[in-house]
Order: sequence, then structure tokens, then C-alpha cells
Amino acid sequence: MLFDFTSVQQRIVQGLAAKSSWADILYYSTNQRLIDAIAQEISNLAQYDEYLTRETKWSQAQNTSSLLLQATLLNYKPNRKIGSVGTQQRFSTSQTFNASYSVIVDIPKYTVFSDGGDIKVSTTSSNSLLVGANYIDLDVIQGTPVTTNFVVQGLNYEEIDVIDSTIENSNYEVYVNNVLWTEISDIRLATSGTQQVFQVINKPDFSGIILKFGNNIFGQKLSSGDAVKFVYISTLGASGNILASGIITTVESTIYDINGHTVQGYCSNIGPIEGGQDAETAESIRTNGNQAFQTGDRATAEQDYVYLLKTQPIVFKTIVWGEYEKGLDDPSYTPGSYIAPSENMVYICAIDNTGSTISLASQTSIRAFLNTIKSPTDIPSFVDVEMIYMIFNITAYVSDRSYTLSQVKSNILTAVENQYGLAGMDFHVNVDYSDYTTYIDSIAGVDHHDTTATLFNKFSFQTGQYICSFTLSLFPFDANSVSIWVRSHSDTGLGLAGWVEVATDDGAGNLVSVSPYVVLNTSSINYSTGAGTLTLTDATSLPHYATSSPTDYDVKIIYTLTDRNFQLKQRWQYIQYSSEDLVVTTQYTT
Amino acid sequence: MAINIKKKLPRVLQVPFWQDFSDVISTELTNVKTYLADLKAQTFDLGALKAAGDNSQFIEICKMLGFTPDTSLDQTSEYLYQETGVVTDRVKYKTTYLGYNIIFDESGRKGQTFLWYWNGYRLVRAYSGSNFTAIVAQDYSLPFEFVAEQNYASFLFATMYLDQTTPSVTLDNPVPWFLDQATFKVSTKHIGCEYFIDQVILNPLDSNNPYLMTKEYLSYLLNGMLYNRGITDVPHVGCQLSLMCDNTGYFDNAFTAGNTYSLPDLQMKCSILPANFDYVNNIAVLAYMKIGTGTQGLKNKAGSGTYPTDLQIPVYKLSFEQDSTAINSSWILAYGDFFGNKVNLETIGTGDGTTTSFSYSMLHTPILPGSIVITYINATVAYTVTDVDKDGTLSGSNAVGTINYNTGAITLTTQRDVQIIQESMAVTTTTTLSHTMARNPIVPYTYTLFYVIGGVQYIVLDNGDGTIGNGTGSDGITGPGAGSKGTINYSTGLVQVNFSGVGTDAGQPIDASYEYTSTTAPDNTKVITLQYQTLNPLKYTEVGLFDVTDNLVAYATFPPVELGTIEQYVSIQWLVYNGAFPGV
Repeated sequence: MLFDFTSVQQRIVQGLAAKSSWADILYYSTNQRLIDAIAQEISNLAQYDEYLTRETKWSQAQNTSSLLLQATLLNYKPNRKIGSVGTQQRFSTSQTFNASYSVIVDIPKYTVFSDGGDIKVSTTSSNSLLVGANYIDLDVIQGTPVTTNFVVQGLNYEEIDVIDSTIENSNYEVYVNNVLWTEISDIRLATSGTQQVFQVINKPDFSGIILKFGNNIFGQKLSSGDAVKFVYISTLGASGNILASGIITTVESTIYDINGHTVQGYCSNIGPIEGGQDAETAESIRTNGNQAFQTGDRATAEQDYVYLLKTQPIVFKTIVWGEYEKGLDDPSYTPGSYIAPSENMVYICAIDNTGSTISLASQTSIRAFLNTIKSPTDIPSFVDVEMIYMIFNITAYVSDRSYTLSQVKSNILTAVENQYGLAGMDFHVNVDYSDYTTYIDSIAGVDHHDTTATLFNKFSFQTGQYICSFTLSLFPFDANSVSIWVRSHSDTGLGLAGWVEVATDDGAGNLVSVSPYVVLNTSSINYSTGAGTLTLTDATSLPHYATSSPTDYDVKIIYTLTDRNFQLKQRWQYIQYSSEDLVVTTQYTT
Repeated sequence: MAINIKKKLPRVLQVPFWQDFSDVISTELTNVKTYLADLKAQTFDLGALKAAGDNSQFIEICKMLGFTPDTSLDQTSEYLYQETGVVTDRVKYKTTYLGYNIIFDESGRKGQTFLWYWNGYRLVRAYSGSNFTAIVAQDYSLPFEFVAEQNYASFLFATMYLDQTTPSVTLDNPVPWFLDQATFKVSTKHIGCEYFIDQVILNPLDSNNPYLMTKEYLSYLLNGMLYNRGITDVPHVGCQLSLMCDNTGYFDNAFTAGNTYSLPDLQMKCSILPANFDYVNNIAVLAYMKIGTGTQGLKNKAGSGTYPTDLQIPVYKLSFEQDSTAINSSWILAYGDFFGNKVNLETIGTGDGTTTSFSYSMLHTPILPGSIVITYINATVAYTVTDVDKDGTLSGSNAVGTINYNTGAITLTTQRDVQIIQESMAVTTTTTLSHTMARNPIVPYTYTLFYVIGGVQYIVLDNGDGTIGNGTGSDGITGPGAGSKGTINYSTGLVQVNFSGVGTDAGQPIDASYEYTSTTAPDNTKVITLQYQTLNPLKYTEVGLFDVTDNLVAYATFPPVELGTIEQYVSIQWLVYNGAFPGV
């Protein structure tokens, strides 16, 4: 039975037509208007109620607010906006970053830099530029610090509303009477009535948050008149990602040296500041909420570990495996083999939102987190990510001249970032030739295209020697496709800017010199196994050679796989495109 | 309850016109109420959903709870109703025995969860010691279920306490003791969920032919295990098949005399071969089992039929190791686990001591790349040949070959050039070198001589024509060959070199590297064996039990047990009774 206006009206009319008292007057216009009005309201009522009913269903709700409310029942807390982060916001008192300052310069937490416009970043810890150092690279997050103050009433489970949709997901602090308190996932999990803890609850539609405090049984209760200070980062989320170097060049905060004198500072981001995300979408909440229910705050199954690790702010992506998966992946074992050293092992590979393996400190923190919720016999073991980069070279042809070439290029840049950037990819995800060619073909404005994809891995020289021993994990690759480049950590720029080519392969597995650099004649690369060694016997022409040591350089090995499909072999491998090396050319078809 | 607004009409409006109008509007409002009530009720009313056949809503509810039902065996509303109803139990009992039991319940099949231990050779299921007791009371016309030892962790002796008086065990016991004899048996994280084969399945994917097990059932089991297991648990999935027979030598034993089968429920025939069966000695001489894909007859009590001497189409041989056989006063037990699609009973050929080239076509194609292992014997030494790179190139220390993984075609040559990286000939000063290399024949153009004269390191190559050196004297060689070159006899390996002046430096080695052609023709009468995995799921239909002299001791044939992958197994348990099964 339908409940649109016409269906309801027709049923009422048919019902009245069957009544003798209405037979003669049913079609009077005044009666028709009365029937229409009632039919419209009944229809509206039915549809509104149906809408509300659907919004109460997890699988059908369309509004984020509906899912946010239901997510609590599934033990899930969706994330708000996440600020992009970077580790190479360079600061110096020298405009050319090559001179030091006479005394120590303090750079406190929440020091703000910007692009001269709306994009601002803040330091996430306090640092000092030491005497003799030409510059310092700072950890930053996109956003600016905001402080709000409240005076509370001293209620049980007192709640404070903070209305701001830009509150960053995990970078905030709560002080009560200037004492830093600790966040807890649920105030009822407080272990005593004296524990100085607070809970953060998202408001519907991510319009802000609620700070919730204890009752002297579950967490310390606030006292009347207590001063609560909430310090947070106000972030742009996804629109605050900075993919290129040299964008954040304005020092917004006033900088002082240790004597209290104002210092003229200069800055530049020498790497991307990325990983920013908007508040979670309805679909994302729908997916993650299920996992939260399945996990129930205990780490036993694979999906439990993955979900719980992702609740840790530092973890951007993760993959977890055990003895069973090791038996599947390692060709030296038959699936299901007994692998004694892997008994009880839980292998974890986790990266932060810059794509780096999480730090040892973070690993320690995560071990402590897992210790209380995992099986006592599980042994977490962290594995470093192996990041493999794709270099796309795209020539796109445009036949529809209503598109400008710059529009199409912009579409391609955005689409490639979405699909093959760090956020779009994941561990152990292969990239097939047909996938990326079809994907690029589907981008708005692209008629057809020529696209090539090569790969590179980054390595380092050994300490004290210009020797780089490496093993490329994807192979075999084409003979005469290998080139090896070196760049000083002091140099920046997109693409091959700052990189110098030092060697190529000769098609027979030998690495040969690219003048003026000299490579030892035993330098080689095995096309079938990916193993090789590069030894520079003359590195004197490397930029900054006189003031550098071998470990001050990155080594980039570019190669072309024989198979155009990039099939990863290990769970800790991760492919993403290199935004610095992306080449996009657009032209109209003739 | 139906809506009735007529009764709310003011008295002055209680006339037919308004009463009829009220009735019609009441009807429509009742329609709305009923529709919305159904809409809301059907969200979680599983019974209503089943009655309505609303399978999609079942899926939606499961998804909301983060679980995706496996509908590979059953797509009915009844099944989805059950699946949806147990989602919360799956979450609640995750990683526990109860969680694994849910998988069996939902599949509609009986099964058990076995823990596996490492016996020093292989993984073995931990089974209950009560099985021998249980089988005594068994109805021998029915399949026998081999029971798992639950909560098994190690050989911790449950009744042993410190400082107890009997037996006397103290921490300072003069004879050291230990709770867990890990040297011999190691508890592991391996778990096997296995169906108990107690019925015939009519396989809809094979013209409804009878099967004992299909790969689809086993895949369902694996999916369930992957959901339920802890991350450190290693899942195995399989099925168990018990083969029971007495010592009469008839498949229709006293208990089932006159039947077409030994076990009618399984359409199985099973019997010992009297000429080869010896209860007292068998436990010592039982050596291995074979499994195959053929079928053969057995003798019945009426005397018709013949005994086989081997399997009709043997596929895999499983040798017994410790924990594989047992005996008590009445029963012999022999068991082993066959993993899917492994083949080790094909041979490439038989050696004659001289032939070095062989070819063969494997029977079960296509082949899993990299799974092949060829073994042959030369001068009593075993050599293996494999394809480590999985590219179709066979390689061993002394053999090469090719394999086509699609067609199964193999070529094998037990002859190849082997590199000797360094062979020392002398550490001395000398003007003449005459040395026969340890290996021959030497491959021309591969011989390199290293020596030091006057503090200068020389590296000199052979010229491919039986000479060594450049003939100019600049390399310190003056003969004995023509033109101031050394000589090399590629066939015998004899190298002769005269050095100039006072000869090579004292204390400096004279070394060589070279390649020689190694020929390892398989020994006369020795077979060249082959192991591999096929990608074509095998359907096992026969099993044989053999002694150390390769006599078939017992044989069974049954409808197919189909294993889809190497991760799937069938556990075969022979239970042979020393006497005639008691009649009924």
C-alpha cells in the first residue's frame, strides 16, 4: 500500500463515494479541498514517520547525527576532523637557512606558521634552536591553538559543551585549576573516585564536543567554582593538507631568544604536511561501528587488533597477522605449517599519517595499551613498513573543449591523490595496470591518455661509507631500467630537484658510473632477486659533500618492473604514488 | 487496534455525513498505523522476517552487527534466520570451543575441534584416551567418531602434586622431573576443526552423486574459523573418517552380513586382507598408508570377490611416525592426516646407471607452481631438484630440467655444469705446477688460475683450447705448452704450468676456480620419485594400510572425499578388531 498524496486521496475518495451520505456532495469543491488537505497531512505523516523509522536503523540511516547517536550503543566513537601533520617544518634565524644564532632561541609548543593566508600550522611540542645550528626541523599539525575557559557548578558527572566543529580529533588538553587531567574513553571506566579524568563525547553532526567529568566514585568530581581550561587545535581537516614543499613560509608567532629578545625568524616546510581528514562520514561510521561492536574492547581476533590499533591517534593505517598468515605468505612453508618462532606472535605493521612506521616510543605506548586487553600469551611484534613509490607520468588528451587544460590537470591531480595517495591505498594492496589506466580514463575531461608507471624505493648509505646495500622486494625488472639518484637532506623540491644521478645499470646487472661520480666496478644489481650493492668510490661531486657524511643523503633507486601489475609479496609492503614525482601533461586532441 | 475518530465527533456532528467521513479517515489512518507498525516491527522481528522470506533484511541486520553470513551452503530464509540469531553468540564466544561449535551447528553437520601438538616430526591431533573404551560399545554398522582431547595443552600430569607422598615428588627430587616433556611433544597454537563423516552427501554440483565430503563444506568451515580464531591461532579444516573392520577378511562382517557395504550409512566397504594380517606383529610392522582415487572390490562372507594387492590409482603415501599407531588387547589403531591434493606416488622413471635424460607427464594437472620436488639416487646419495623461482625451470645441485605447470610435462637431465669457486692447489713457492683438479671434466673457458709472483697477484684464464695464459710471458707463465702457455686437459683435469724466474711467492696460495660437468646418472633400478601439489581438487575414494614389506594389510573404498586445497585434510583412522565383530 502506497502513502503518497495521490494514493491516500484516492482511497479516501473511494471510501466516501461508497457512502450514501456523500454520494451527491463528494465532488463539491469545498469538500474536495477538505479531502485534499487531510490526504496531504496523512501522506506527510506517513512519510515522516517512515523517515524517522529508517533513521533509527543502522543500515538505512542517512544522517550522520542518527549514526552518531547509535554508534554509542555499538561502543564506537567516530573521529572529528583530523589535522594534517608534518615533521619537517624548518625554522631558522637565517633567511637562507645557512647561519646560526648567537644564543638559544625558544620555539614553544603551539608556535604558529602559515602560508600567508588561511592555512596555518602549529608546533606540537616545545623546541629550541641551539647555538651553532643553522636550522631546526619541527613537528607541526595543521591548525591553530584555541583556548576556552569555563567555571563549573560542581555537579555529579558535570558536562561542559564546547561548540566548535573544527576541534581537532586528538590534540587537546584539559586543565582543571591549571592541573592537566587525563582523558578516559568512558568515565565509568575510572578506577577510583580520585582519578583526575574526563571523557570527550561528540555532539551530533560534529558541531562540537561535550567534556564529561566524574562523581567522586567514577573519577574525581568537579567542585563548584573550579576553572576548567580547554586547549585544542582548530583545524581545516582535509582541506589543510599541504602536498608541496615551500608553502608554509610565514612565521605568525613572535619568537624570542632565551634572553627575552624578539628574534626575526624564517621558515619553510621542506616536506609535505598531510594526512588531514574531515569528520567521519556516515558510511565510515557505519563500517567502523560494526567493528567496534565485534571487538568489544578486547584484542583476540585479527579484526579486533586492527580496529583497536586504529583507535590510537598515532596509527593511521595498520595490518596485523600471525603464524597462519606467515605460513601462507612465505614460500618456504606449506600453508598451515608449524612455525615454532612464530607461535603466539602478533605481527603488527602500523604507520602514522606521514606514511612512516610509528616511532619506537609510540610502539611502547601501544604495547602498554594492548597489554590490558589482549590474551596474556599474545606477543605483539612490530614490523617496519616497506614503502614503495609509484612515479606516474601521465599525458592526457582532452577532446571536450568546454574543459580547460588546467581544469583537467587539476582533476587528474586530485583523482590520483584520492586513489593512490597514502589515504587511498592500504597495506598489501596491489596496483594493476588495467586498474590505473581505467581509473585515469574515467577522470572528468580525459578523453584518452598515455600513462607509464615506474617504481622507486628509498635507501641510505652506510655510516661512514658511500656504500648502499639494498634489496628491492618487487622483481624481476627490466634490464637497462635502473637508475640510482642521491639527494642531500639539505636539498628540497619536487620531482628530481636536488637529486643527482650517480649510476645506471648496463643491462647485464652491473651498476655503472654516471659522470662525474665513480662507482666501484663490483657494484651490481640482480634483476631476478632485487638484491644489489652500490659503492661510490668518488662521491666528491655530491652536493654539500664537504659538509656532509654519507648518512646525510637519501638514495633513490628507480626501476621498471617486467610485469606492469605491481603485486606485493609481503603484508608490510605499501604502495603509494609519489606526489613529488607526478608528471601530468594535458593537451587537446587534434 | 483500529483507529476510530467517529466516537470523538461532537454530538452536533454525529450525523451520517460526518460519521461516514470519520469512518473513511479512520480507515486510512489505520492503514498508516499498520504500515508503520510493520515497518518498525520487521526491523528486528526475525520470526516475521523469516515468515516474509525477507532475506535481504537478515543480511542487513548481520551487517549492522559486523558479521557477513556465509551463504555458500545454504541461502534459505531458515538458514539466514539461524545465522542472524547467533551473531551475538559468535561475538560472545569468539575464540572459544563454543564459538567453533557454532560453525558446525550452522553447517548442519557434526564436528569437533582438535588441538594439535608437535611430535618432533609433524603436527598431530590430540585425541582422547577414551576412544578405545568407546569403541567397545560401538554399533559396528555405524560410523565411529574419534573424540578430541579437549583443553589439552601439554603433558601436564593432572594428578601430580609437589611434596605429595604417593608418588613422592619433591622440588629437590634426586631425579629431575618436569611437567611438560616439551622435548618430545610441544603444545602449539594449531587448531583443527573437522567434520565427522557420518552420512552421505548428494553433491548438487556433481549430478547429485554421493560424496562423503565436498570442498564447499570445508571452505565454509575455514571461513567460520577465520572469523572465530584468535590472531595467533593457526586454523586447519578437515574431516575424519574411521575405517573399522574385524579379522574375518569380509567386508560384510558378522555384524553387517549380507549388506552391500561394511558401513551402509557411508556406502563404504572395508576389510583386512587375511593373508597379510597378523594382530600380534602388525603394530610393529605397519609402515604406511596410501590414499587414492580408484575403487576395487573386496570379498564378502558368501565368498565372492577378490582381494586387491595395491590401490587402483594411488596418489599419496603417508609414512607412520611416532604417535601414528597403537594397540591394545583387542584393537589396532593406525591413523594419519592426508592434506589435500598432494601427490607423491608418481615416478619419472627408473635409473640404469648411465641414462641422464628423462621426461614424464604428471597425471594430476594443473600443478601448483613451485610445489614440485624430484628425488633421485646416484652412488647412494640422494639428490633433489626443485623450482624455487616457480618459473618452470627445474634446478638441483647436479641436475636441470623444465616443467610445464599446465600440461604437467617434465624434462630432467641429471647432468649440469657446476661451479667450483675456489680449489687450493698449493701454498708454496714453485716453478712448476702439475695438479689434477678434484672435479672433471672441466668446462672450457671457465678455468681461472690465481697465483702471486714477486708480490703481484695474477689472475689467468684458460683459452678454451687446452692452454692457460696469454703467451706473452707477462703473466709469469713460461710453459710447458707451446708459446709460453700452461696446459689443461679438460677431460682429466690435469693442469700443468711453469712459472718464470724463482716461481710463485712462498706462503702465497695457488688457487683455481672453474666449472666442471657433473653427471649423476640415477643408480640402476632406483626410481626417480616425484612430489607435487595439484590445483585440481582430488576426490579420494580408496585407502590402503601397508606393512614394512609393502603388503596391503587392509583396504577400504567409499564415495569421494573431495579436498579443495592443501589446507584441507581428511584424517583416516583404521580400527582393526582382533576377532570377529560380535553378531546381532
